[in-house]
Amino acid sequence: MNRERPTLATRVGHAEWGDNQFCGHSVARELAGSESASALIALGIGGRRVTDDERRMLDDVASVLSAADPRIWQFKLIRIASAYGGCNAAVAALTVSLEDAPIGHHTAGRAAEMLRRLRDEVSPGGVSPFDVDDSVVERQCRALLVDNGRPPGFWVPFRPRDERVDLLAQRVAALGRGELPYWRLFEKVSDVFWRIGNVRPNIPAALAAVGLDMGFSPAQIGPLMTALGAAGFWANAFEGSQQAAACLQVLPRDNVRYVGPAPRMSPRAVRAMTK
Amino acid sequence: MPQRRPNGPIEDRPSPNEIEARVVTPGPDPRVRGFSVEADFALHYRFPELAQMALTGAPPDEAKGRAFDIALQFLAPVAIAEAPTHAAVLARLIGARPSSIVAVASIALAERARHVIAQHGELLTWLEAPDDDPPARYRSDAAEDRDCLDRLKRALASAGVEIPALGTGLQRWAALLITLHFAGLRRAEQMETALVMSGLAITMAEALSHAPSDLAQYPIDVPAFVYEEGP
Repeated sequence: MNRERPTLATRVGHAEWGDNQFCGHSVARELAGSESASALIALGIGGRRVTDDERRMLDDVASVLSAADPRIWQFKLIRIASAYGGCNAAVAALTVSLEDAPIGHHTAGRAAEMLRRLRDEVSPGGVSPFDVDDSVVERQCRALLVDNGRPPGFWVPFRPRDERVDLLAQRVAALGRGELPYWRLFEKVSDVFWRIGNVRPNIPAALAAVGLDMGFSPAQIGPLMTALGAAGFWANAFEGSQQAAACLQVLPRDNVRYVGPAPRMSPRAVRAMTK
Repeated sequence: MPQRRPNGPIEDRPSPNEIEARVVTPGPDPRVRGFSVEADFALHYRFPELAQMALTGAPPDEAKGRAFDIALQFLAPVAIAEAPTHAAVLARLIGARPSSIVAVASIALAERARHVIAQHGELLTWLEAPDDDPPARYRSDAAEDRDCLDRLKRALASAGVEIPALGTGLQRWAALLITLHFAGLRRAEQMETALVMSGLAITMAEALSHAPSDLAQYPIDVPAFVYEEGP
């Protein structure tokens, strides 16, 4: 029987004699010597080369995301996974953990979905969200607080506000991107959430606005921001694998408290005893 | 001496000094959910039943234990055509160390398990109150499904187990998830764990049967990728 051979389309890459194609561009003639690492990640996920302004913004995003204290939950996960001396496995462990998790840079994708939905809801028919009454935005935000408690990308643990959001806001303003529609919507929504729910924006919500203003889709924004934040992953995985710390391989006994069921016998053990 | 940085939000916020162990007691003679593994379960239960008890919280009776064991065996073979084993073999071929191959196999098995369970959401809902036939999308007239269901029922019957919800005309995956449900696994996350656990050994066996770095034998262009330029 003659079965048709399945084929898969790809726009990512093609190996050629003497050169490679990456997302529609010759690595040798177009990319090498021209693109930054951040811009290549954006090209790989978004499918287009970013402008110089956008490249600067993405590089700033990568810098802003360099908060990498190994005690922060996701970095602690890397330190534990690297405690036997493996570096790459630890990065893989965190990367897998972040997909669809409510904590971490990947949340920027869900925050982007929320911002886009908010924009559609408060300004149907293409009306600018800044021309609608604040009460309309507030009504939608109240609904989100009721639905989610913590809207995606919002809520700041440990501290009154996320210093990375403030730093990113400075960089957005410095690059002349503060008036772009999703950044303005983000700022407006942040004010409303703080006023009605005491909830401050965390970095994923701000990243969502930056990504949407560049034309990335929510599905692209999650992995894009995860990849741009990878410096902290690799730094922790490398140091952790070099340390291979015994106290992470097995926590000291004093730091573990058993709270499960008390000792008991299984039904079969009881039957065997009574035979 | 490196200079100490000023306190930050983590130092200045009180946090617990202990992590809670809820299933396994740390230290020698470990107990799982209160049962000694070495002095009790190792004497009276098989390994799948230990895993079953750990996942469900209760030691299985004979019927549930046998059903779980049989379901794991049916779920265990994952051929090289399927992504988890294909990925594990590829890791072997590029010379990955064995622990990395185990990691690759585990990730791919977990992704496959998530996908399978997501596709059977309606079935899991139906299983909570199976007062009618299973949802139509999980039924099948295909000979291979019918044969698999026959073999499953025969294996269960040989262990004295009958599962009423199995009925007739079910797809293979649906029949196996119904069996896991009978064995006490009620939540999707428990079933995902069982799917990964069942597939790991044989997936690794296939991967380890290939010679490391034997890339010349690998069909690099199957399936064929077609490069497209432009947006």
